[in-house]
Amino acid sequence: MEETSRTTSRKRSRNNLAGALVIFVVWCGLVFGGFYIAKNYIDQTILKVQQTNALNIQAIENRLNDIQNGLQNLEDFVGVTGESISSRDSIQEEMMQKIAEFDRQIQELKNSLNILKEAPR
Amino acid sequence: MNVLGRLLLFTLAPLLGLAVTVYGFTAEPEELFFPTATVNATVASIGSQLDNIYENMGLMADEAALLEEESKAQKSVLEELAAAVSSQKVLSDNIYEERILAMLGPPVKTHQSKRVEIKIFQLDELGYRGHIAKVKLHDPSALKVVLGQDTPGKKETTLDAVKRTGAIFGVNGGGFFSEPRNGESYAVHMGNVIINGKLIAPFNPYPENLFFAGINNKGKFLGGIFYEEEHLMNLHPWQGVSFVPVLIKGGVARPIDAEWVETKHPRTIIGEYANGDLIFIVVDGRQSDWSAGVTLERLLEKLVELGVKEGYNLDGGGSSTFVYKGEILNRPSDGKARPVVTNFIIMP
Repeated sequence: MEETSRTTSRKRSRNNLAGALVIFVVWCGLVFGGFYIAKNYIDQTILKVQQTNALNIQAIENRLNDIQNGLQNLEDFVGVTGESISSRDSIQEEMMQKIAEFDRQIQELKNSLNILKEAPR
Repeated sequence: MNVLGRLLLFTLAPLLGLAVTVYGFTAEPEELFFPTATVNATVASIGSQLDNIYENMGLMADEAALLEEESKAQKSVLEELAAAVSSQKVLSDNIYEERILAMLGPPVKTHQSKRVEIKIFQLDELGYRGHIAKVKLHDPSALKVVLGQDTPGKKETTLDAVKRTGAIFGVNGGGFFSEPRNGESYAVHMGNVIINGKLIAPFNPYPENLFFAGINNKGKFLGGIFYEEEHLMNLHPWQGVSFVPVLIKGGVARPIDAEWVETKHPRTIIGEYANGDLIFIVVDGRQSDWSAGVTLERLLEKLVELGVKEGYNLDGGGSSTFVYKGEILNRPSDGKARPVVTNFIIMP
């Protein structure tokens, strides 16, 4: 009787251990499954954000490229305008010299005409 | 039941934690999106401003190009005007030259070089004859005053001075007198003589009507009566001599002292035309069959008639000599060239 009771108690204990083991395995499976689902959800969400951001950044890059091209054109334009202005400045400086020379020539002509007035007739 | 409840609790606990985590995460991804709206607005604003700048820059470039074109056009007009003025000046100068030449007649001899242009004319008036040289100095160093034998106190004929120096032309210079010094005759120039910008003797203002006539360091005629050395030297005289009287100053005929009005003599004149050309005149005299000479009054009238603006009487009488290319062209009243203290010479 005592032997039977001991055997029964040992069997129950063994069953409890097996049950706990099964429960643990199931629990682990559920944890892993949950983790997997959550990770997959988070990864998908981040991927979606990344793709959206990439597309947006691509669009902004395109616009920035347009602006860069515009700036390059503007730089060229400024260069051409600068050359025009600098060329005009150079012409103006040359003109100032020519005006001074012209003034001298006018004075010489005036002197020459005054001399001519005194010419013998 | 208790066992089953615990089992469910243990089983669902991690799932519950994960569910809460996932639920919490669903709100955060919105914040992970790149803020395109703001950036787009900023980029669009920059683009719009850039367009404005580009447009304004275009206007500015157009304006600059227009101004450049206008400047070029103005420069071109100015060049045309300068060319026209230059050509008018040449025309005016030529007309003046033609007028002078018309009064002088055709030149009998002409010398042209980079340094000087000399035209020789014959003067053949009622009662007197002579020669005129019209000199256009391109290089002031071509005209020189030389002392007799290049030595103070010595004399030399104009012909000898011309030959000695290799000059092409020469006339006698200023007045002089001789005095004994150390038992020898020493020729003293009257007034002031300047050679290469330096007085060859201390400044001498006496007598007061003595003039100085010559050229300055630019080759322009310089003449006048100077009472102070500073007044003369401030005009940068380069070559010149002294004598009396001044005939024409600044185009105005000067009154001539009575002692020179009626007397006819050989004369030597230095003068200047209004255009800066120099004129040297030598009139022969004291030769009834050739030329009786001329009074200064008559000569003054002739100078005015020729259009001379500055006229100064140099040493005359037997000193008057006119040499060109190694030959005395006039007839000196002594029958031969007289040695003098100073001569004007012109290098070829």
